[in-house]
Amino acid sequence: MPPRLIAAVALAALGACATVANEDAPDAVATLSEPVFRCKVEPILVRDCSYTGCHGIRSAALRLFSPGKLRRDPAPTLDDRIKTMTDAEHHDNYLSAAGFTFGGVAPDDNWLVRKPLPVNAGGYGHKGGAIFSGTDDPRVAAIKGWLAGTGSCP
Amino acid sequence: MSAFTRVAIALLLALPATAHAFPTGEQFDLDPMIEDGAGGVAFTGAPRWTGHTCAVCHIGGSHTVGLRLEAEPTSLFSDGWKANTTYHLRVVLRDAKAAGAATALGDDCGFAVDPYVRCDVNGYALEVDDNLGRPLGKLAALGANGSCGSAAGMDPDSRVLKDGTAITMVGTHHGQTSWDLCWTAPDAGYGPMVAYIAAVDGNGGDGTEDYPTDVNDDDVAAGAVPIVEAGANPPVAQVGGCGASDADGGALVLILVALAAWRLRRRGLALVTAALLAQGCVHVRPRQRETLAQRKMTFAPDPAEDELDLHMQESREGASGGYGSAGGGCGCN
Repeated sequence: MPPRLIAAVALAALGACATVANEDAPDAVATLSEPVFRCKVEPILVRDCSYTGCHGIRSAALRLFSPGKLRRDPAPTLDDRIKTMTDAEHHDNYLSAAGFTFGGVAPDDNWLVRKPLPVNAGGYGHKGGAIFSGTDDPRVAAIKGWLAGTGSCP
Repeated sequence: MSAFTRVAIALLLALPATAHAFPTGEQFDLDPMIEDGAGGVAFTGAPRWTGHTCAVCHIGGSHTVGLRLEAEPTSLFSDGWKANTTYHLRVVLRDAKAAGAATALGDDCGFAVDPYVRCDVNGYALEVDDNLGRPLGKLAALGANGSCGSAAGMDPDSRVLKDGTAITMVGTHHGQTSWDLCWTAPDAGYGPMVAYIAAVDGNGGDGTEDYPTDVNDDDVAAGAVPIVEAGANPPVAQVGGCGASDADGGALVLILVALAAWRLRRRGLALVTAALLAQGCVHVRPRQRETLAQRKMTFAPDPAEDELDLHMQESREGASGGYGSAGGGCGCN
């Protein structure tokens, strides 16, 4: 094949490498109810996950603020540490949990649901072990309801 | 803003997130959302709490403390539990490092004295479960006369959770390293039980009245004490599973056969016999399964993580397949 033809083919091949624009991922946060998170999901996460050796640390992927443990603002005294949660802390907990829905993950496959399940129920890789008893655990139903947009507050 | 001010703010933000602890068992029942409570979680290490102990919060300890569980009558441990019998139990925190000095002070510490003196607040939690993980029997604080069964004037050092499934400390005394409680066994027939216990050797917060208690540098001990049922059949011995090399004399016979075959120039038979000798077989005892169940013993400890890595590799290289995961694309989701 003549060198000029090879060069032409190579240039044409390079031309095929058009710029690809990434589509924006669906904005999961906009579809998730913050009031439902606060009344149904946050109490579960705070009770079962927010320990200072677990998700009550700033570096945790699911970072949770709660009274007596990790606080959003510096707490120079014990009284500051144990005061009731602020709206900003509730909102930050919501954002931290909502981050797990990035990319439109199905509620059944969401890590908030899957990782704390027993292995025989689909759980895996959770350092804190199987927190939920199984897929019929009421806590699983509450989190899935929030993720699916079917949950409601009393 | 001066350089000193900026450094001071940076140091303040970099301070470790000192957290609270539970100086009293009352907090185990409080709402964790509004009252700095545990919401009924007892942290005993029982299966219903996913094995979680006080160590999920109390971190940084030296892991030098131990636990002992005593019983009266002692037949609880020698013969097993008897139906509807009440036992006087005592949880003892051994080698508590900070307790010595605090005990010498008695209860004259904390806000009770001026200037402030660091207190040593220790604690425990206990429950007794059957093989199905159900808390059974009845827990109670010690009676006023120092024995079980007296309803009046209960010992103020222990407190049963609202649902009756576990018992914890109250924190009346500082430097306390033992707690008494009562456990009444259930009706017969529930079989072997396990007493799950966890305890904290507190260090008095950060030593100032700003933080009289926290979870940092507290030591934690936890344990599970098996208790059989009196008169019940002993646990079934583990049998089966291993072949010739585990049988008495089996390995010796194989060695002799292999040597004889080698001398008779039956190399094939010798090799087969040697291969039989090389096979490994061992009984895995129940307590060893804990090690085998660790995450590092799995070939793929996190399949989702592997799948994500593969997805990104496929995206970079423009090729897919070969590892059991299909797909490609931009690698951004």
